[in-house]
Amino acid sequence: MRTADADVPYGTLDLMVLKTLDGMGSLHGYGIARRIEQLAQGMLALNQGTIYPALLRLEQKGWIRSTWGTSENNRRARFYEITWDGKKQLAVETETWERAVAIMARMLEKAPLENKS
Amino acid sequence: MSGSRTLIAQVGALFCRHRDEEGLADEIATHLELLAIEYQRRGFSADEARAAARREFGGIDLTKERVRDQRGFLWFDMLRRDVRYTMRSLLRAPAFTLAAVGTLAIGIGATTAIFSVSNAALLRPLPYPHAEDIWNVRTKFTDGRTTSGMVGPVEFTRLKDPAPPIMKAAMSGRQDLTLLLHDGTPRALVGSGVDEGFFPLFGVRLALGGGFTPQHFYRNGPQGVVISTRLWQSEFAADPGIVGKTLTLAEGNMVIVGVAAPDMDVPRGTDVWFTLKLDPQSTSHSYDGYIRVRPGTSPEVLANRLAAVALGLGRDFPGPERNRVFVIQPFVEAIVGDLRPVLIIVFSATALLFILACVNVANLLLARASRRSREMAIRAAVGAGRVRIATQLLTESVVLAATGTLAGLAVAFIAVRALLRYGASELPRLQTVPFDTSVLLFAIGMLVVCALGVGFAPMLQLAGPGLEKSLRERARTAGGTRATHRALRMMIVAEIAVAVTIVAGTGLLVRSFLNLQRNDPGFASRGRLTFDVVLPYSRYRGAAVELAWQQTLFTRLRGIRGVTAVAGASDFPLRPDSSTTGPLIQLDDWTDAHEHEVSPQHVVSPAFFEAMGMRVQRGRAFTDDDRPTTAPVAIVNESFARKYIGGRDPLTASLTYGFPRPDPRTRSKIIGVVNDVKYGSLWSSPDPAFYLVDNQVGSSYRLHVVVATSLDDPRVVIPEIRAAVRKMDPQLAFTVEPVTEVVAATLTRQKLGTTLMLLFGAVALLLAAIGIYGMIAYSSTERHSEVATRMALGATRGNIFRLLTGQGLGVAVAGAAIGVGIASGAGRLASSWLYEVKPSDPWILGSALAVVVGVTIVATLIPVGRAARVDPAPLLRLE
Repeated sequence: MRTADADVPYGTLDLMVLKTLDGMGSLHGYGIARRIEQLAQGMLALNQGTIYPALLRLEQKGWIRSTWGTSENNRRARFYEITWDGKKQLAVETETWERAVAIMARMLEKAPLENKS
Repeated sequence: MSGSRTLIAQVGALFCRHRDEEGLADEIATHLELLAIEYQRRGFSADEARAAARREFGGIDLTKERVRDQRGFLWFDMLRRDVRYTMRSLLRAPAFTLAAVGTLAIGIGATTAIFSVSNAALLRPLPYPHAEDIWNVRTKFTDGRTTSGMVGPVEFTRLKDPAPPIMKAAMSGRQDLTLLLHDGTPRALVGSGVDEGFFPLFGVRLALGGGFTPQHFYRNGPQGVVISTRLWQSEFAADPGIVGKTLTLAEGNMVIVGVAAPDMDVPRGTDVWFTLKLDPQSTSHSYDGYIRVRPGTSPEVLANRLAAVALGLGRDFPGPERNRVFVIQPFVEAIVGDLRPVLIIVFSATALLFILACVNVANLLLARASRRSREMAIRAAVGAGRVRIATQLLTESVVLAATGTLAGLAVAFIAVRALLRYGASELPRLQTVPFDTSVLLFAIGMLVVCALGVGFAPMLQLAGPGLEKSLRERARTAGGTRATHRALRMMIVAEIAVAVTIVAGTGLLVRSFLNLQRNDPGFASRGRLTFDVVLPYSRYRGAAVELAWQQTLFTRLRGIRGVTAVAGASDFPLRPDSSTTGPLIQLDDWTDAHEHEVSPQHVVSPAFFEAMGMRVQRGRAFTDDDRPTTAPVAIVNESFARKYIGGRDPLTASLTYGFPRPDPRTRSKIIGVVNDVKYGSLWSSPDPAFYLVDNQVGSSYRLHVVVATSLDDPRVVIPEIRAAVRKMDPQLAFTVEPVTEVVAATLTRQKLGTTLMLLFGAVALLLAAIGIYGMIAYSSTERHSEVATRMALGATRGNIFRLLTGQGLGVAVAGAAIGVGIASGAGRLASSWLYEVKPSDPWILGSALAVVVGVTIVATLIPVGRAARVDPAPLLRLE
């Protein structure tokens, strides 16, 4: 059953969440969504609700963990942070993406990207 | 790796569902509020901020649903929905559901019942440790001499010698005892005397008490008894302080030294074990023997050892032991021996029935599925994957199988109770048939097999590759593959064949049983009662005392209103202890060439033949004038006269008898010939036998009394009989039975078998009928369009009728032919069980055929009739 968002295939959304948490420590859902939009520099507009199934998926796989806390507006919220397994997964997926991008670039004969590996 | 982690998380989530839903709601609320605050900072009003927040968030319910899906609730919800939908659609088709569930209930129920019985009787291990190392021991003569076949103390003294491979040896002997309750009422008990090796050999510890000590087995030592758990519970209310109390028996009081374990049941049915005080050198062969051998002993080694012991005995005791050898049988076999082949046959038959039941239900499901193919096609078009459709179909078969299993367990429970009530005495170890976990597991196993087997066919058909084809062709039905059709047709043929065989077999057994019932045992049973008593030696010393007592009793009994005659005998026909063997006999004109003729001997009172309604064919019956002081007389039956006296006039012959040799002092003149009476069983031919009169030779250990009345129901005089006996001796325990019941009791085993076969026959017939119905219904539905077209082109109802029935008839004829072939062949195999019935009796085969074909026709007509009545117009319009 595909729960793909029209804008972002959910594989990449997972990666974005991991990357965000890797840099930022502990965040709640709203914070993660805002941060992703910031990093994407306005090129991305997600329906913020789509983040929640992704967060659950990542937690089920053990790449992030959550604790209950209080948000800045004094309400109950879950705060998420990345785990060691998550950091490992992030490294693996980053490498996979960069390789895919390099291959596609070569195939499409666009301006060669710097090989960052 | 992460996939399995996800799965585990999903399963776990089922339990915290409510909490998680609440948590998510909180999270989303927080998120929305934070968004709204942000918008407010940008200058929106409160309401506008909230609306903008919601827009940016996206669908709240959609988010919740997606999270729910990720949690894995979705599959669980889907399953619940599937099951509810399945149950609704099943309830909407009550005929189908009832037929399917009923068929499965019978199939699974019968198989489970037989399994639990087999489990209890055969598979459950005996309570005795290493029971496979225990053997029963009997003896026989190699030179053809007759013997009781039992063992004697001297033999076991030798066998107990600590020489391998025999580790232990023990003996037991049966003696009936009478328990006296507090109010003096007597109750018959089964007693077994045992020697000191008995309990150690079987290795089962007593439930209470220390048991026998060596002193108990000394000649002049104390007498102690061990009672069974059954007796302890029924008569002593499981008194924990029972050890040391006294057991009040008519034969003398004994101290209770222990209570046996609940499982201890050797010799079978024993209530009380007492000690035998034996002379180790005695050659009296009156006991049952048991030995325990070292584990792993080969049969040759054991046989050699036994032969060596026997040889030594023959040398030292040339009279009774010469040419005597040991005959051994595994103990386990002796208990369940002849039951195993019967249970195997019954189990196979039931398993066959189960398979047929599953085939039937598969057929029914197929018929239903073909009607649902359109629905399935639509589902596929809307996006259900093949797996999804298959799951839905499987749900239906699982629900049916589960319901069928539940109903089947109920059926099994009832069946086992009924089986126990009818045949518990015939089937050993079946005092309790536990409905325990192994039975339950078995039933669940059947459920799984059934669900998979049954759901497979429709699943293949509807969720298989044919689905796309059917969509494209827009046909009304998906149509099963040819292979499925052929397979199903063959199954139906097999069903009919099996039905014919079973019905024919039932017919044979029923006929045989009726023949047995009508069989003339040689005496009259109407209006007659019988009972037997043992006059204990301690209170009745000597033949004169016993006979005097007997005379008084008989006079009193004759005084009861309705009684026409009273007589006594040493044994009663068709009772378990009736004499089928006897002393050696010799007629006056025999030379030594006639050695070793044995004939049963019956001692009777003068009124016996009259009381039993027997005919004196020649000469006279005994009278009161035949006394110890007059000439010894004997009466023979017609078989005896025919076999031993031949052409001569029997009334001129004389007979001597005795053991181990005919004793010349017993020479008796033959004064009469009576008709044959079957003492052993109704189906064997009567033995040649001779009668003596009790006035001359004395009464026997156990006195059987027969009371003839002129009443239709003789049971009304039972209380008066009991009162008369009680007045003469209140300590005698006995039961009075109508003779008709004694005769009927011998047929219990046959009755059980015949009833079972009748049940099988009925079920097989029902299954065959359902099977045919299902098959015809299925094919009729399939051919609806064909039928409609033909009708539009001018075919009459009659034509359609013939078209559709042709299929059913073809199958029926094939099945019937095969069935008849198998039935006559099987009948020949089972001829040993049949009484005066030819196994290939044409009447029975013919009626079986007629019954099955008749049922087949009815089963065919119903769906065909419905199909032929169908209005073709709407069908054609849909094309």
